[in-house]
Amino acid sequence: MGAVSASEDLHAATATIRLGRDSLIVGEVTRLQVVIEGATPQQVVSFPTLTGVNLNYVGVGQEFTSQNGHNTQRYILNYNVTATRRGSYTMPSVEVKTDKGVLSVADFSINVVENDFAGKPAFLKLIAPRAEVYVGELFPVEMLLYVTQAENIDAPQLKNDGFVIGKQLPHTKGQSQIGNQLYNTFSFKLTVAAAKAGELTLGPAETRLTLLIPSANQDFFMSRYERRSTELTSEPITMKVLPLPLANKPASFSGAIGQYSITREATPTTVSAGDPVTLKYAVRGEGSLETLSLPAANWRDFKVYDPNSSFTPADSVGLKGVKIFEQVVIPEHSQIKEIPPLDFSYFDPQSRQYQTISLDAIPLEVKSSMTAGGTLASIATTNGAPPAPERPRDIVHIKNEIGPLAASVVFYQKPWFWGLQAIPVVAFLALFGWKKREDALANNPALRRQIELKHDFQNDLKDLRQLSGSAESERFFTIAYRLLQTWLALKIGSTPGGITESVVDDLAGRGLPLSDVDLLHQLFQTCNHAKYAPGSRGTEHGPVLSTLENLGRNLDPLPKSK
Amino acid sequence: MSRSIEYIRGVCSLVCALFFATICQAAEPNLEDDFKLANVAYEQGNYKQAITKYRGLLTNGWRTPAIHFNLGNACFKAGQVGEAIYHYRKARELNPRDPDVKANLSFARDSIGAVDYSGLDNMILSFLKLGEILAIATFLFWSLFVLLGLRVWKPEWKFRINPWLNASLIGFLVAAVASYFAWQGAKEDRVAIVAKPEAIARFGPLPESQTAYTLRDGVELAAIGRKAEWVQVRDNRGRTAWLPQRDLLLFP
Repeated sequence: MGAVSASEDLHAATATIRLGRDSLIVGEVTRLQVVIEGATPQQVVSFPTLTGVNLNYVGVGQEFTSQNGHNTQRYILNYNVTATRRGSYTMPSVEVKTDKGVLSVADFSINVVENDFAGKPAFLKLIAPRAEVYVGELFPVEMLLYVTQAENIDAPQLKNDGFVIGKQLPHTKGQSQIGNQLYNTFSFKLTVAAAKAGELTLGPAETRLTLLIPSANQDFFMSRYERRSTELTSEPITMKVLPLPLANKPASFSGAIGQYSITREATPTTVSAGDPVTLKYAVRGEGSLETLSLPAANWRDFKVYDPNSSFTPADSVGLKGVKIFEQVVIPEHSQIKEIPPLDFSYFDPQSRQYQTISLDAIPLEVKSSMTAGGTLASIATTNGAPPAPERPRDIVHIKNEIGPLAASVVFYQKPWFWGLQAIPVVAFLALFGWKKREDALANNPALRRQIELKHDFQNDLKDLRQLSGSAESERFFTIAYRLLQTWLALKIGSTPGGITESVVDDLAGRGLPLSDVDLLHQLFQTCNHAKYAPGSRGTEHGPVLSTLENLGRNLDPLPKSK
Repeated sequence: MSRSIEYIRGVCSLVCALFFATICQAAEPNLEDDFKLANVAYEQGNYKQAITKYRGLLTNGWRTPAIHFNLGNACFKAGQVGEAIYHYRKARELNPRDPDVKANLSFARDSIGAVDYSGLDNMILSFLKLGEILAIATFLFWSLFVLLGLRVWKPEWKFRINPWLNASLIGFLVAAVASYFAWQGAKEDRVAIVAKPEAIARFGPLPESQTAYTLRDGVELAAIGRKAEWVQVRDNRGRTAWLPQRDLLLFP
């Protein structure tokens, strides 16, 4: 609550009401203050008598504050407010004489509700001004907590199924007397809107606190108070939520609910084409001003930008005030003569009707940008900069060729494409592995030789199998002899070229079984016999081949002799 | 005898090929004719009729940048700015470097004073198609491994290969990042375009929810959530709200 009034003095004096609450209980007496800042009151403010609310002057006090080196003195006129009858009351605006002139104290409202908690040490009240609202209409709600003495007080929680909580203010504290009982009061104010139509229940509000009950038995050692943890629950409020009527809904209605007035002004009103004009809209009234938006300005010959807005509340919950919109529009050619008219529609819950305010067109003089003190081109020439590109006046015309069809499924949507990406990775890894092996072999001649010999042994064995049983005995035994040499070279880690039968005897000392030694000797002799006595029959091929195949199963070198 | 059979088989194959080519050829002129009829309707100023004909082509599965572009023009002329912007964006998706598409998209946005909701993904996709970006990334990916393989196979060429290898690596990383952003941008239903003269954005996904703000035809928003037939959007000021899907065109 508050009032602002200017004085003739350079420093504006103000007179505001300080109550901290919107609601009282029948029989409650609480303190109301008229705070005068910047002036000295010459008289006591006289409030008219209302049927259900009495205000009695009790005295004056002073308040000094200092902030950032700036000292402020305030005079506080104290009044006791007594609520005697249930109802909603509006105290009209009054005047107070001060040394700086006459100040106006704005009107304020008090809502007095039934007292159904007489005598209790603590109780919680949930108060809404009306029981019937419209969907989306923002209304104030107050939760009042009265306690004699308590600690660990939780902020009340409001059950709000079907409602949307808006702004929540910090709580205010005070003191009241109801009958002979003195209470500490806490006021929690918020705004609420119903999200759907029907009969809805708002609340209850719930809170927890620890009551301090004076103890019956007191002595030096015991506490004066008994602590009792308590849960308080208010009565819920049944609300009838009406849907917005569909009949007569204006096309320009965009959801604003409340009572509003709107004005508009444009500056400047003489511009060149392409220069900005600022439109300033001021929306005053009561309702959901904070979330209010301007109707869209779909003006073809203008470039319209989104508006900036600022809201100045006139009450503590932000349901009253003024919202200012500033919007930049740019006329695009010199044939424009005015800012077009605009309709602002809202739904008035009090009259239960849609209202439309039509803002008149604002005359505008738009000069051609060619005649406004020189052409664009000439300015550009003077500055040496290229002229700004001309803004297109229409869209590019349609295309006459249909063009290529777009693929319904593109390559990157096919699994095989992603599978193909593994190829370079796998190929690189294979190449890397092969290269590593090559390098290892290059650095180990013995290993390389061994690998080559094994390879040669397998190739010769393959040839031997082909020659077995054929008439080419000489060739068969030549290869067999070579196989023996290769095998022995592998076993002793030597080259085949210098291997003879005499090497076989050394193998016994390196772990080769004696039976194998004899077998090798036999093989050598068979091969020599065939070499130096040709004409051997093909049936001798079989055992030789078989023996060599058995030998070929183990080509690993023998351990060195000790 | 076998020669004769081979000869008959070859002739039959040729005849079948000619037959199917003829059928395919016969299908194409219908598409061209329908497109021309739609263009005639546009030239005569019958924008609604032109819209119906262009939409018919799309419904039949024919998608070309020109069809979307012309449909965008017809929608714009008919005052359906939101749908015009949607089809210009579709045309740009298929042919990002067409200056006509860019010009008309910009003009349509300017006509409503709209701000393009654009991030890095949108910037990339305004120059290259997703397929083109992926093709470049794939080429650089393969080049990278070919050069790596060459370096392994011929170590003595290391100094000649290294500059190309580094360039491929950097190019591939850049292309990979661009591909990621472009892929994100091409995901389904990330942009919502208002497609009615005035759409009411609400705080919740209910018809009874309180109005948050109103939006004009053509405003582009980020679609950030779905619930039944409602879409949660965020505007360029960061405000979130819900809109019914029927009021929106979802892109891509």
